[in-house]
Amino acid sequence: MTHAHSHSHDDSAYYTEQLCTIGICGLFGGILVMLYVRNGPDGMLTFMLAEKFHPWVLWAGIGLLVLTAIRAATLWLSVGKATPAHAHDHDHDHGHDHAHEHGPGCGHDHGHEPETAVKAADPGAVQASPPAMSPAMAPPDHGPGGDGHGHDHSHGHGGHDHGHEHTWSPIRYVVLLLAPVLYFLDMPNKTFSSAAGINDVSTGGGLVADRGEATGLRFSELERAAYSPDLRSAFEGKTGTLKGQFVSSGGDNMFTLVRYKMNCCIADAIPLNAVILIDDSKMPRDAPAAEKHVNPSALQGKWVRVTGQIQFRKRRDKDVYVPVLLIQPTPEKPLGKFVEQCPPDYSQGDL
Amino acid sequence: MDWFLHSLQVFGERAPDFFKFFASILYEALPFVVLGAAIAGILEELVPQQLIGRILTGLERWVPGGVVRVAAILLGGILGLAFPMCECGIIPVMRRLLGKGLPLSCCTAYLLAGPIINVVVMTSTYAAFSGAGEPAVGAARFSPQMPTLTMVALRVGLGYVVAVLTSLVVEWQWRRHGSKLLLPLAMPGGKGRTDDDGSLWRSRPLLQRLSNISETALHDFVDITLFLMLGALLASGVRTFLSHEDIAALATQNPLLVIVLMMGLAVVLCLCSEADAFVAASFTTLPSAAKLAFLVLGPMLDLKLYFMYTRVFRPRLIWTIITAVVVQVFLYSVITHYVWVDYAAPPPPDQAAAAAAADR
Repeated sequence: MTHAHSHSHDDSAYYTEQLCTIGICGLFGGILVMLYVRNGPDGMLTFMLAEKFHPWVLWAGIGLLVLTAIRAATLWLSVGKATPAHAHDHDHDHGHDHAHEHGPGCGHDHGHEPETAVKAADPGAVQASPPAMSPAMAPPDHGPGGDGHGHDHSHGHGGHDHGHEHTWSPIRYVVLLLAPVLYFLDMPNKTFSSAAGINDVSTGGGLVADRGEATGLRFSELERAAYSPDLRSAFEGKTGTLKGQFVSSGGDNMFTLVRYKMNCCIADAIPLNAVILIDDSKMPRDAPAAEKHVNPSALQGKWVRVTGQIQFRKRRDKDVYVPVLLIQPTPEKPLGKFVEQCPPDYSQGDL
Repeated sequence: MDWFLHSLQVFGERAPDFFKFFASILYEALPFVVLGAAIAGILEELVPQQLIGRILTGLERWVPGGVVRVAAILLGGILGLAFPMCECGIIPVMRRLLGKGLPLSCCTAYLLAGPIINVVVMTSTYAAFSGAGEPAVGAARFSPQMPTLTMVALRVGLGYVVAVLTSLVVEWQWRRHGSKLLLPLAMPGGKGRTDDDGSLWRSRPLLQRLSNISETALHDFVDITLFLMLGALLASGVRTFLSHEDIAALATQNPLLVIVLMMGLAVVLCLCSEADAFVAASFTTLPSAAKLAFLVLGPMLDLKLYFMYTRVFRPRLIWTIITAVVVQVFLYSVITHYVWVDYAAPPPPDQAAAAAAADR
């Protein structure tokens, strides 16, 4: 299909789309850099992504900012360059791209089929127009599956259009703004609402014979040991310290310590659980509650460090073992010596 | 209606988790999208139109065209060893390479096999399945687990076979339908730019080159990220409702059903190919073949990839690829399951003896 072109192209739409692209890309670049710069053991980046990806995030942010700066500078320089308008007939369904800037009087065709070569403009109809776009500037989205026009062409060169309007689609930028909005709202927060405490282990039985200290105890070690009779025997009776998030198990003498082991991001995170049991049989009845029981509502979601005797108990409904740290507070050594709050640490190094 | 209201209530309670999953999937993929977009911009500016097509045409003077094409597909399947790239980064690069004349079937082979057949993923798969083979004591259903090396070899081998055969189907479709399979931005350049006489070295001002590169890169970044976000939103929604224990409960189902369910899970979870092995390995009660299906299908097809495919391929090609991949993965997984269980797996241990030994 060939058609003569008018010169009624909306140049402002081109610049608006370019500015929006620069803006959104700059925003993403800045956010990526800030995620890295403001990170720490309790930072959002540590919470969301494994450490091996952190440098990637920084370099991606820098790369985006550099590309954005280059584009902004070149767009600024190109504004005001006048190109003569020219009419041309061309087939609608051509697959060409325009990877070059058009200057005034460029006088060349734009990769069209021979019968669609650009013809010289009517000298009386010269008008300024923005420079040609590169092949990057595809027509606006018409939804997944394609643009339906069968062509990819520049909008702003020579002031010609292709027989139809190519208005830009702001909706794509609105959707893209979702991520920056979440960032500036300091979301996501760093607790899992779906985390549920384990409360189906037997609470009976006290301390077993002490077998010394398990130095450098790791959460994943205990989790793995629960599946192996030999490893369970190796750890049973030793004293160990674990750090994790407090998840209530529904009572004040039992709670679950949770860490999330992730390999890439929080979406693949696997919860590692250790049940903390409190045996208050050595505490006098009139002892303050805080010295023998935890306050689940005050500690829910908080990070705590727990020291106790390692044991393994079977779960009633699942017939598998879970690691347990048994605490037995005494008047000389109340609960606060075994369970203490600590700063958040989402790093995976000690897992 | 009650179910709907209950689902709304659950979603409301878990909305914070929804945003966590969404943000993590997005920020994990973004660096690779930026990298892919930057490479795409450089390719678009520096590689002349149809260069790759002309090279292949030149080869076909000495070797039959069909042989060249098949060889290119076979090579494309192992390109990931030389150019390891996340699937998110491959899409913008591939779109530009298609425009430069790289055959669609070769791109498809790299796209499907690249995220599996690379050193990083093979290493992570090995690490994930090392020592992860012990089933839970007293598990209701014993599932003999494959050795680590077998798992890695099968993931790589089946991934390669699926990619190559799918690419051959794509080649057949290309010969029938040509450029109609692709969106305009991915179509081979045709006559190309008027100032492009095909030579490698073009004299063009540096500023102009930088402008073109940055414009292409930013455009591709915006284009791909938009659909990445849509896929991440859907995947996060599913992940919000599905817990680790829900998935482990699949072990009580029929093996074929488990394979289908794990394939569905691979599509909706949108895990990167480096991490999915650890997730699969953690389900110690599931059959190995089901985990294999999860590991082979996930890098080739998931929700975010589907949306990104729509920026390159037309629906006919997308559904051709989906059908070929899904059917093959299911068939090979089923065959693997029965061969493994019937001929190669060790006999199940005496469960009573195991439980008694555990309680001593």
